Amino acid sequence: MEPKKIIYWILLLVFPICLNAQEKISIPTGLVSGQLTLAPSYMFQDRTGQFYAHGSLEVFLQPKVSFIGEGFYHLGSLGDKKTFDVNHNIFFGLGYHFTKGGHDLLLALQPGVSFTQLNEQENKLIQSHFGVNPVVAPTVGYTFYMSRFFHFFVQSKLVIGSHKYDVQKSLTEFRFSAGLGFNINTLK
Amino acid sequence: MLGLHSIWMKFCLLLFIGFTQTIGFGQEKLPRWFSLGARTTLSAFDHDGSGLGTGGQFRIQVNNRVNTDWFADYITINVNDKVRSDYYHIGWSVLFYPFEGLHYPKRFQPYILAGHCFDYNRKTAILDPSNSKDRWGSAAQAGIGTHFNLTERFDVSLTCQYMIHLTKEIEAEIDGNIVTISEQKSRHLEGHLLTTLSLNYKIFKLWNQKK
Repeated sequence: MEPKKIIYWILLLVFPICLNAQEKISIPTGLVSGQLTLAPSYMFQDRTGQFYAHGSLEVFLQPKVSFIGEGFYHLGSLGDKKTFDVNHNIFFGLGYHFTKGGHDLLLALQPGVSFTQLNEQENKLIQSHFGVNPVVAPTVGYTFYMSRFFHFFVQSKLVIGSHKYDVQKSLTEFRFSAGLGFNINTLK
Repeated sequence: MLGLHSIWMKFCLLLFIGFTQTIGFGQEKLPRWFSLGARTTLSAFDHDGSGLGTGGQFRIQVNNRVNTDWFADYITINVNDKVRSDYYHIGWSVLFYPFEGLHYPKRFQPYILAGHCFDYNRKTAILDPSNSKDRWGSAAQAGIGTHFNLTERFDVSLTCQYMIHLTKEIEAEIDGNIVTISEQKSRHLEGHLLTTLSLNYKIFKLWNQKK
């Protein structure tokens, strides 16, 4: 299919939803927003892809400020190279939102910890040890609140840190998440 | 060295009491907030090298010009790919705002700060985790910073402070693949430069000042 046709069909599908959203949807204080999705990533040092189950919970403390807690459960590597057996994360932080109607652009900085363990075979180790490493993640996201209970979201995150057990390895990677989320206004 | 530690603590307390007692007359009385925040710290100019940390903090504001910062950090440093140096900090700092009237809606609110903290350091050979030593100690820190007020309740703060450890340090000597970790026989003034980026939210008012 030609690119112009693809754009036409996307606009045709999204436009009625946008119109509906502009009439009613706003992002109030007390909105609780949750997401559960799959997140692929690209790890820069090893040039490998990883896959995560990604869950997040966000509470709007003000219309422009939210508290965000996120968890990433490492599901495995893409391809044959398997540097890490375990690379789970927890992030917590605050986000600043640029909102208009149901449209929401997020900028956030999230400190966190990474729970890691190297793959023994790939790293030529007799025994690998479980480690806890500090990480930080600048985050950019866009959310479209299409109703009082549902939203679409896309999010990208740069995770910065390093594993320092058995062999030093960079944990710096780019993660991408997208999908459907749920939201509820707890103050109404 | 304990004498120096004691003098620093007394200095911080005097700074705190002095500011709370003498400053604030004739100013518009602002509400006193309790804030909660998350922080990430870059440790540099350490004899171990540089590292990244994660942590949290809460703030109790005392008056228009004085705030207090209570924090916990976990910082790890990679020493030449051979040794992992883990630091745990729990402490407090007093923030003094030298310029009046720079609270929200003004964006930048600079401050100077000084404080004290307890710190725990453990050094471990990366290839041999059984080769490890740790110590408890205390430290003093001082520096400068600024809040960037994004809303009345939300700020991003950048702080740069030097932390001096008042204790016997753990030393790692690396000779090829041989790592020797030992405790120094005497105390030395060693420390690191900590640059902290934190995001803070004012959760509730502790009390309102009478005008």
